[in-house]
Amino acid sequence: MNNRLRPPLWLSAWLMFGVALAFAPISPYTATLATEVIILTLWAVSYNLVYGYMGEISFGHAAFFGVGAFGVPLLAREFNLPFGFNLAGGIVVACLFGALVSVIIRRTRGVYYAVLTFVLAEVLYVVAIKWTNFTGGDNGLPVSRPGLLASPLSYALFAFVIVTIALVALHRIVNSPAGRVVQAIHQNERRARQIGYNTDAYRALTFILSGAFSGLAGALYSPFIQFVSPDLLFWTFSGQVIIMTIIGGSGAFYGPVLGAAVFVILRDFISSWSASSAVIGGVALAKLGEHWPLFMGMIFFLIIVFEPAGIVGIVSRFKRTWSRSKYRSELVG
Amino acid sequence: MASFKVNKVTRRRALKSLGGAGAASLAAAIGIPHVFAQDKSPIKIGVVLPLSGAYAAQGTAGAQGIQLLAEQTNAKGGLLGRQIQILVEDSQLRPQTAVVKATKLIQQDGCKFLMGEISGASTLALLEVAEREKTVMMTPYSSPEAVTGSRGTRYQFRTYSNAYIQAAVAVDYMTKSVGKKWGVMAADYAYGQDYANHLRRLVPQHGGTIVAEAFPALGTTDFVSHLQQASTGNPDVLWMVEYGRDATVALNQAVSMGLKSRMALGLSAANTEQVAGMQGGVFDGTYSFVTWYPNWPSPESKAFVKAYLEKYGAYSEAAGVHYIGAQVLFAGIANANSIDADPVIEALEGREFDTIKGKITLRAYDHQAVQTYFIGKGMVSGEFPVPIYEPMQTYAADVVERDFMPPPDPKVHPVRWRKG
Repeated sequence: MNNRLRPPLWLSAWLMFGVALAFAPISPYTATLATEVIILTLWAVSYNLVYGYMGEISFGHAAFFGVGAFGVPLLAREFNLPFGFNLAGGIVVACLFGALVSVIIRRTRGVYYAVLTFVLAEVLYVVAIKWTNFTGGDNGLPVSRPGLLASPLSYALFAFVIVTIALVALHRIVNSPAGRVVQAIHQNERRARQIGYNTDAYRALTFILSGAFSGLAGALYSPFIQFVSPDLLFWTFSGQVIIMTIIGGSGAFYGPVLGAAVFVILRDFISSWSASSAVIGGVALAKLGEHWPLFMGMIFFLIIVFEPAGIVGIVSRFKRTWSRSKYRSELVG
Repeated sequence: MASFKVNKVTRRRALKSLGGAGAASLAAAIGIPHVFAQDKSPIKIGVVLPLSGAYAAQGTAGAQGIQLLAEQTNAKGGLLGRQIQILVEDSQLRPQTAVVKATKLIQQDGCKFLMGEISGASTLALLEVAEREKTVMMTPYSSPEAVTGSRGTRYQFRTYSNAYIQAAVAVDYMTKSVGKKWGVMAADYAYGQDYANHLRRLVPQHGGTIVAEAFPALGTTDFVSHLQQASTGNPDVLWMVEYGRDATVALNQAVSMGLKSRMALGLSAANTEQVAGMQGGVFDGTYSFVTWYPNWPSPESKAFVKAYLEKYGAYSEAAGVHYIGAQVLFAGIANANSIDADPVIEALEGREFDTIKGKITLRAYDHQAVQTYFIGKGMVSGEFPVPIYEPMQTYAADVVERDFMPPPDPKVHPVRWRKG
C-alpha cells in the first residue's frame, strides 16, 4: 500500500476503539463514559493546535467549549432549527468568538497570551452568569437531543463518527504546508517571518481553527449531558484541558487522545472511592475519594517532574529501549 | 462499506432475538413465581451529593442522614418487605458530573429512585435525568424556584423550602418585629438574584424600603467592601443571602466590622455546617430562616438528633433535611406498594406525610412541600454544643400555604408537565 494512504497507527487504534464501542456488549454507563472520552479527546486535540503545535498557552479554551455548548440550546430556542444546524451553529459561533479574540491578542506572546485568553474567557463567564434571561445564569439550560440519539450508545456512536471526521481533518491540517509553517513559528517565529510568512495571520488562523473544533466539542457535549451551565466557561475547566493535554503529551498528535482517556477514567475511578465504605490502612477510602483532586494533582505533578512529555514520552521511551534491544540482538545474531 | 452494513443488520437481529429471549424469561419469572421474583432484591435508591468541594460537609452529612433512615427502616423489616440500599455518588459540585453519576446510578446500578442535590444548578441538571429515565426524584435540600417551577417535571418532588418562601417569611417577621429599613447582600448567582428580586417586591409591600444592595460573586473570600456597600444608609436589617462557606465568611466579617451593634444581621437559610464553631460573640442574636434545625421541638426530631449524634457524633441540619426527604420518599413507596414511577408519583402527589418535623404535604400542582417553618434567633446555649436558632415566630403549614407561597399558576408549568 502507498505509504501516504496508510492510516497512521493512532487512527487504526481509534477506529478499533469505535468498533469495540459499536459491537462489544457494553453497559449504558460505559457508553456514557466513552462519550465523555470521545468529546474531551476532540477538545484536547484541538487545544493542542495552540499548545503543542504553535507553542502558546491559552488559558481560556473553556470559552470556546462553552460557546459551542451554549450554542446548541440557544439556537434551538431562538431559531427553532433542527439539531444538525444547532451543532453547526455552535461551531460558527465559536469561530466568530475565536476571530474576535484573535484580533485582541494578535500582538501578545507567552505569558501575556495566557493572561489575555484567560481574562477574555472570564469575561464570557461573567456575562453567562449575569445574563440570566438569556443563558439561564447559574441555573443553566436544559438541552434536548433528537429521539434517534436518545440512548447512550447511539449518542456515543454519533459522537464517535463526528469526532473521527474532526480528528482526521485536524490531522490533515497539522500536516498541511500551513501546519508546517505553524510549527516553524513555534521553533523560531522571527525566522519564519523573515522567510516571508505572515506569522500573525498563521497564528490567528491556528487559534480560530482550534477554537472552532473546541466549539464543536462543546456542541457535542451539552446534548450529551442534556444540560449546560456557565461553569463550562469557568477557568478551572480551561485548566482541565491543559492537564489532559500535558498528561497525554503535547509532542504527538495522539498525545491528547490518551490524555483525555486517562483523565476521565482516573477521575471516575478515584472519585468513586468517595462512595465506598472500604477502609485501607486505617483510613476510610471515602475520605480519600473526597479529595480526588489531590490524587489527580499528584499524578499531574509526577508526570511534570519525571516525564514532561507525558504518556507520549513514556511510550517513546519504551519504543527506544525496544528498538535498541532489537538492534543489539541483531548484532549478536 | 457493504460488509459493515451486513454486520450491523445481523447484530441488530442478534440483539433483537436476545432481547426477545430475555423478555420471555422475564415474563416467565413474573408470571409464575411472582412473589419470589420481586421479594428478595433490595430497593436501590441513588443519591447524588457534593462529597468534595465547597459543600462537601453538607453533602456528606446529607448522605449520612439518608443512610441512617435506610438502616432504621431495614432494621424494622425494610420497605414492601425488601431491604433498602442507598448508593451514594459524588457530584464534585459540578452539574455535568452530577448528570453522569446519576446516569450511572440508574442505568448501571439499577436505582429506581434518585435523591439530590444541594447546588441549584446540579438539581436542575438532575431533574432532566429523572425526566429522561422516568425515575422519581426527591430533592431534600435545594432552593431554586425553578425546581418546582418553570423547570419542574412530574418526576420531581421537593421537601425543602424555596427562595420565595424563604424571602416571604423572613420579610414578614423582620419588618414587623425588627425594622423596615433593609440592606441586602446577595450572592451573585441564580439563587441570590431570585431572592433579591423577591425582596425588592416584598419589602415595600410590608411598608419597608431597601436602602442598599450588594452582589458579591459566589465564592468571595473578602466581603468587607460588599458589606460596607450593603450597610450604607444605616439599615435596621442587613440580610445576607449566602450559603455554606460564603455565609460563614460573610457573617464573621460583618461582625468583625462592628455591624452587629448597629443593625440586625440575618442569613437567608439556616445551616449547622456553615455556623459550626462560631463563637457566641459572632453568632448570638443573628437571624435566620429555618426549615429544620436540630433543636426542632418535636419528640420524633429529638429521637433523630439523638440517633444521628450516636452514630456520627455531630448535630447536622443537612443530615436532618435529607432524613426528612427520605422519610417522605419511603412513605410514598410504601403507600404506593410499588417501586414503579407512576404509582409512586400518585402516592406522593398531593398527599400528606408524617416526618420528624411534623406534617408535610406535597402540593399536587407543583410538587413543592407545604410545611411549617420558623424564624430563629441565634444563640450558643449549653444544651447544644453547636450554635442554634431559637424559634422567634413559627409559621404553621397552612399559614405558609395561604400567605407565603405563590398561588397555583397553570401557566408556570410548560407542556411537559403531566405528559406521561
